[in-house]
Amino acid sequence: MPKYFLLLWFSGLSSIALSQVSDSTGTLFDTIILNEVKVSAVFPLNNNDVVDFYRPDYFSTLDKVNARLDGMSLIKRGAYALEPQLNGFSAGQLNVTIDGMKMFGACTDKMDPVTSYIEPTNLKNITINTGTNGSQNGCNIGGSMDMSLQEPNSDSPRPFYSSLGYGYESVSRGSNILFTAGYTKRKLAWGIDGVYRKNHNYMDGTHSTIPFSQFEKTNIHSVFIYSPNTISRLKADILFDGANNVGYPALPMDVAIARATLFALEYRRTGRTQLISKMYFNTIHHVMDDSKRDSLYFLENETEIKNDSVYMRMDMPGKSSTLGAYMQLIVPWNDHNKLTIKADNYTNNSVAEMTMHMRYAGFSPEPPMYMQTWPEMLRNVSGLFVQNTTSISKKLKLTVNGRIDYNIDILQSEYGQLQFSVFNYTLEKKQSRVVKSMNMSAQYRINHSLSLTTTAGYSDRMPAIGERLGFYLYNAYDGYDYIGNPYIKTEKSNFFSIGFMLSKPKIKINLSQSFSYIRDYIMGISDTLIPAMNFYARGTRVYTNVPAAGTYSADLQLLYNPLKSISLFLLSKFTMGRINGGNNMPLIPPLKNIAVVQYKKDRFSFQAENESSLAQNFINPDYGEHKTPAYTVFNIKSAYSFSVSRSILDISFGITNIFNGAYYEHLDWGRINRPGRSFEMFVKYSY
Amino acid sequence: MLQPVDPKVGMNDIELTLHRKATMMDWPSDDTYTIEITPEMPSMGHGSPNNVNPSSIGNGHYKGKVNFTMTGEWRVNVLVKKDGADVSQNLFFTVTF
Repeated sequence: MPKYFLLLWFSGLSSIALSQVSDSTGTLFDTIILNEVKVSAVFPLNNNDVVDFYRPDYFSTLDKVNARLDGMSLIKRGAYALEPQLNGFSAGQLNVTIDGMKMFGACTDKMDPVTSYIEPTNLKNITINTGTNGSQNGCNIGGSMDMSLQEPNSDSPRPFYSSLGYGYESVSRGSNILFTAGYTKRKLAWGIDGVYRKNHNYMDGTHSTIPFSQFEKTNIHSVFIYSPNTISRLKADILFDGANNVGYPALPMDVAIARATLFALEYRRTGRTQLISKMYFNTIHHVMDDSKRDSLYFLENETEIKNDSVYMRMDMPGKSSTLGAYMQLIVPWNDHNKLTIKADNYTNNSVAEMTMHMRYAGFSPEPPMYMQTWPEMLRNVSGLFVQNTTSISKKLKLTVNGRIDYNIDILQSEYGQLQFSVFNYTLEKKQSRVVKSMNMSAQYRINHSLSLTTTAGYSDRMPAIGERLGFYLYNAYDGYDYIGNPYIKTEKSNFFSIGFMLSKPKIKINLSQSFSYIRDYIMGISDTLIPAMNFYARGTRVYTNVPAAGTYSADLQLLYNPLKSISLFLLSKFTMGRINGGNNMPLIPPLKNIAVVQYKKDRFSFQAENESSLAQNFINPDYGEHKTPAYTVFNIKSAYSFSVSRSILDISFGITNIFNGAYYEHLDWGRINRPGRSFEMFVKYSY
Repeated sequence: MLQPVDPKVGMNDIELTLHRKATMMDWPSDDTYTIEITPEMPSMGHGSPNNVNPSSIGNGHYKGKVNFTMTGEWRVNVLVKKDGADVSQNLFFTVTF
């Protein structure tokens, strides 16, 4: 699969370039878009250059797009379902939403981040906000990522359009099939897109096969739009995503089924005052599977001083459903001020169980051992977000926003209460809390091409269900069983960021730096009094509020167009993290650079990419960390587009990891090598 | 062992009675021993935290708390001591639920 997703950047950035050309008034707004990473999947069909180059990238999973986003790194446990991390923040510290809709993975071990249920074909764009400033969809400290779903292509010259594509990658003998179709006529528009992928175990740079790195998935998204008049419209989305037989080489188990279904209904009214109101429901079913693993353990029998072999199988299903609604109003109440108000509510129901089946070799199985790793919990969050943007002068713009969330957790499982009595807790069924966020930012245009943005903010966040009520959650990274703390405090962050943006016709630079000072940082602290549950666990850790932690991040993007047909792009990301002023924060990526040269002329394009990372020596061995060596990888890709009467045939060929380097990134669990050299081929027919 | 009769996950009361053999026919209760309990799940190789050793409540009954973190087959190891010296060896009750 191609790793040449930088093209997304090119397309995103070049659209900014275009918008700037057309926007001769020179307002501040054009440069701000740089923060909103645009991953538009359908470009106007007359813009063939972009389409030709971009189209083959449909064949990649969303993970490969995310790896090229500003400030984003990925925690890798297998070849699929990589977990997004933004400037050192992940999981419950991030808001990951789909068109503003909340959705939560159903796996206690974070094997199914929400991004794993979305495919690039489903997406129109991705919007990223860093730090506390991503509070539009919920109070949070690490930032937000909102993925907006694809809509029917209204620019199509014909009412009906369709395309079918096939991609192959040699390293995993992976097949990818994708299709899109749509119909637009007057007030109605309908679109459908889907993907089927099947990948076998991949080979690394030493020609060894990585066992349990296979996956198979199907994804279908359909959207229906009815526009009774030019300013209002009704939209319905249905999305299904199902993955089977997903291997996780860095974990002691795989996934049999990871299935998500999403329904959404939206009413939107544009005009001077804009209104969006949305209702949604989504449900995730996730079943882990260790039946393909060798689960033979040797137990030393203390009395007879001999080894017994033990077989253990675990059933670990999880379920998460979310029902929600929101209403958002954007009111430009005078020439200088724009007000955004958003009221939302969602209810999430999560439960995860574990049943262990133990059998000594030669004996009949023992009675099953049952526990609720996430005792069934209902969480209802009602939030209100208000933001006002003021243009103080032509040079200065101020934005102030605030959010308040009222959160109620209801523990529905009596079994969960009993489980926690073991730790001397008498759990109340209901716990309610208020979390809040407040941010201020200023955008100042120094001169025609240079501008400055600063943001200062505060936010706290609700602990995730696992951090509150998790019961013996095995973490394969540090080898500990994690236990929740029902009365854990909220995590709080003070955030500050400063960014410079240079925008000239041939060169664009965006340099941003951010600091987060975190109080009551939530992490697992070893508890020697609680015995571990598995033979392979090193001990237990209880989620605890650590007094202080801090992160610093710097991101650089540079786009240079020396000639019309040549573009150079550089993306650098760097993050540091400290806990209590001393120890290194675990899972922090080292400095990483992605550099791309792209040549594009008429229907032909060629792109060479270098991805390199420094070694990571700032590690925390207590949390299972090892030093990670530096690496560098080269990729190339070339594409050509044929046009025959009304249809288009796109062909693309690429090589990822040309020199067959054996490498892994610091956030790759288990230090398992990434794929070696891979030949990729894509064909797509559009009508 | 009198309790738990109906064991459940979480904290359970545990109650034991202790009788000393005086003659073949006479087994008077005795409150002068100390009892330590260590639950374990033999097949998983783990125990449980926060157990309370049974202490005498009279009539030879000893009462404490035993914690089970999950269902399955548990073994409650019992160590009986008299004046600090062990008087029991390899004594346990099996609890399956």
